[in-house]
Amino acid sequence: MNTWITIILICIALVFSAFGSAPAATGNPGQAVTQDVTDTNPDQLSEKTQDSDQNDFTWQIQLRDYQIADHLHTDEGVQQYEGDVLDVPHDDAPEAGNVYLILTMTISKSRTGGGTFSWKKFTVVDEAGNVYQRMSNDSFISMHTFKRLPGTSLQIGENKGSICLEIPQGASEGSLKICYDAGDEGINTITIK
Amino acid sequence: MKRFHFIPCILLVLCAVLVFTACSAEETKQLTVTDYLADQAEVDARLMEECKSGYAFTEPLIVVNPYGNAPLSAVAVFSTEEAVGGTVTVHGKAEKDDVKGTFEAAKDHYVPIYGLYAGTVNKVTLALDNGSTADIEIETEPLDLGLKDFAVKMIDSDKYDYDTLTICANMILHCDAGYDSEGDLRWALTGTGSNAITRLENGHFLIPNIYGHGAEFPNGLTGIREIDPLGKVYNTYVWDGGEHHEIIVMPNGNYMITGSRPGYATNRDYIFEINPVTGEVAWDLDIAELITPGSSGCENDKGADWCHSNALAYDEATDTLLISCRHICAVIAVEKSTKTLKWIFGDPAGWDEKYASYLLKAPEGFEYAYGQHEIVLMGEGNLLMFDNGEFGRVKMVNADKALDPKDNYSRIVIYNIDEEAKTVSQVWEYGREYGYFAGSMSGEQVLGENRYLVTWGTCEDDDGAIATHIQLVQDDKAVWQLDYRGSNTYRAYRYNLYGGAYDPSIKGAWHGDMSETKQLEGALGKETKDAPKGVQVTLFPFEAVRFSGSFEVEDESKLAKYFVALVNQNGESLFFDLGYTTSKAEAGIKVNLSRWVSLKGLPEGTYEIKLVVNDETWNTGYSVVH
Repeated sequence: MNTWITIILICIALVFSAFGSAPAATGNPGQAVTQDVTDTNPDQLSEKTQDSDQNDFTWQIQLRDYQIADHLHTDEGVQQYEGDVLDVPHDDAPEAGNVYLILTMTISKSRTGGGTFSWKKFTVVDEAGNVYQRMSNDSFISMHTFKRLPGTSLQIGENKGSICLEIPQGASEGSLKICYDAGDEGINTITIK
Repeated sequence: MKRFHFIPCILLVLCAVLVFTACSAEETKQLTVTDYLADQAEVDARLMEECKSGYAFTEPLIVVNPYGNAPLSAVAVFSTEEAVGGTVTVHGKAEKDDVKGTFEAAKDHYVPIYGLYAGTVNKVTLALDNGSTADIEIETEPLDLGLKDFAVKMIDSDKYDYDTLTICANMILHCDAGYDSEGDLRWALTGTGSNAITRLENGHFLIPNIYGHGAEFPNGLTGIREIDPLGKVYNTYVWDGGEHHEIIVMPNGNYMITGSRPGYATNRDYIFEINPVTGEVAWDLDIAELITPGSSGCENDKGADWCHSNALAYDEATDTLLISCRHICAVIAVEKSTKTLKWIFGDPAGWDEKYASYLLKAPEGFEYAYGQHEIVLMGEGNLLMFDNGEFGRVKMVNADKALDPKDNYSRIVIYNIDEEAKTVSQVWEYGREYGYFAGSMSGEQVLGENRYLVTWGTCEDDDGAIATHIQLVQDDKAVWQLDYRGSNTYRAYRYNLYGGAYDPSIKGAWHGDMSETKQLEGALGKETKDAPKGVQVTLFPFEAVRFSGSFEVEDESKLAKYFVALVNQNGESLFFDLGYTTSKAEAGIKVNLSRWVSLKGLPEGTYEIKLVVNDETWNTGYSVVH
């Protein structure tokens, strides 16, 4: 009987390992040097950490991935007129003691009319209750192969892309959550980690 | 006892099969089509849905950059009870730089707004023809296109036209940018092929598609697209041979385009006439059937890019197509209907004897053009041309007389051509005195009587920086000049962005395909591994797979003939060339990919996409259904 149980357990383990092993998270720039990159399946992450009921909100936020990096480096190959490729290095680093928190999201408008999605109402809150906003200009992440969400208010549709915040390294080691103040609709909260 | 072992064994086998199936399923993902026209249709649908909400004229829905490629443009969506038209004004830093336009009478309005400044809150006034006005604010993001050191000289403001912007096509930066009288950026279109821009009567632009065909041919683009200044694409045309530098609209409405030989064995030596409705090639011309490669005596008349056709003009009265062929330092005239060579205009030095009767004769002391670009027919036999003065202003037989670049210059020049007498003379020239030498690109737009916009697009400053000089010229005098550095400029134009049709209900269309890609003999490598992460594989709606991105190898010994292998369900492989260019990597060599493989003509089926590199087979992780 013990053999039976052992074999069944092996079978279960085999099947579980085959179907349960998820690929590494996407959105990690190939050449980027990162301090700490999540290896969580982005879809599972979103499902698991969607604290608020998104149906309550005109603007629905789905966190698809996040990355924490102490600097970003990318060599961009720029093709010249005669075909030569010139490598243009892009290096970006936060202030000393800080890290980049890059959030990859889908932000969708669920109904017509209503207001805009304003980044001024979008914050990340750390374990100690400190509040952080999107960098005033995070356009540099486009150079590191991220598709960037516009920095102006979102007006319509399904918007997929990434944004960057600069937070203290200590804050990045604890829990983090997104808070979007949707006015009369309430606070939309999503746990990052 | 036997039964006791039999069942678990079956269970184990079943599990193993399950595990194998699951793992195999993860090995390859089916490529899905990347279709920017489908994404655009989604935006259009959302805009039209929002319009049903009945936004008031005084509080319109403002969507900045709705299609993601025109960051200084927006659309205002609102409804009015009665059908009414109106005007839109984007206020400039000074009133003279207001950018104004009109919109037609309607009840549901989608009003494009052009001329926003970057990185600021813009003030915009909407005014209806019934007298109502609404002041709105539109915020834009900072925008760095990679250009710098802007300098503007207003020499004669009375002769400056404030109703138009200067639109610059920055090919290497893949963008078009519009500047006002102060040199402030007021419009941009990103992700473009950005060489020639052709304005259509409906206010839309014809521009090249961004993707190059192959690594050996970076600037041959797969075709062209019709796009409005808001960034909406109405038509995308693709064909084997693609576009290189010039698009003109023919009297019959077709587009005449300089391109490459189908299959790309040579490039920039083919002309295509595209039907804009069907996307079909209505007519084509192989320049090599008229001029034998290597027969001009010009320095660059060799190799695959022996011809380098870069500009066109057509005279309907004589059915003559003029083709500027930079690398043979000549403009050739062809009777279109018969595809026969009529004459050749270029320095006769070094030409093969068999062309002697075609070469136009010039008077003593005549100055020919070298490495020329844009050509414009001016009537009465006059031909306007940008004479770059490339190759030191000589043919190879006179190489000892070549001008040093620091002494050289580029100019615009009008020649008069007598077709019957086969003679040419110079009528007029402008620009030599500035000493701006632009060895490549550049051009001139005719804006009226003795009025031009001249672009010296590839100059080099004393410190080696690439510089552009653009002049608005009236009666042989500069009226206004814009200079900047950071990248070259193919051509510049003066356009008012308003006046064109914008309609979210029109669905963009794909036309044409890449024809069949030549198959090669090949074999899969013995060792199998995953392709490096830097390799990108993209499927396009015209059933072509594009390979791009890069990977690194240790040294030159690792460089090889690389293949694309498409492996069907039966394990049979089809092989195609995977061209590449190389650049220096931090440790070793970087291999840069840029190649299309068309699925046209292949047997139907599902193909795993692999790369063959030396003795290795690389799995891309993708399959494609054809």
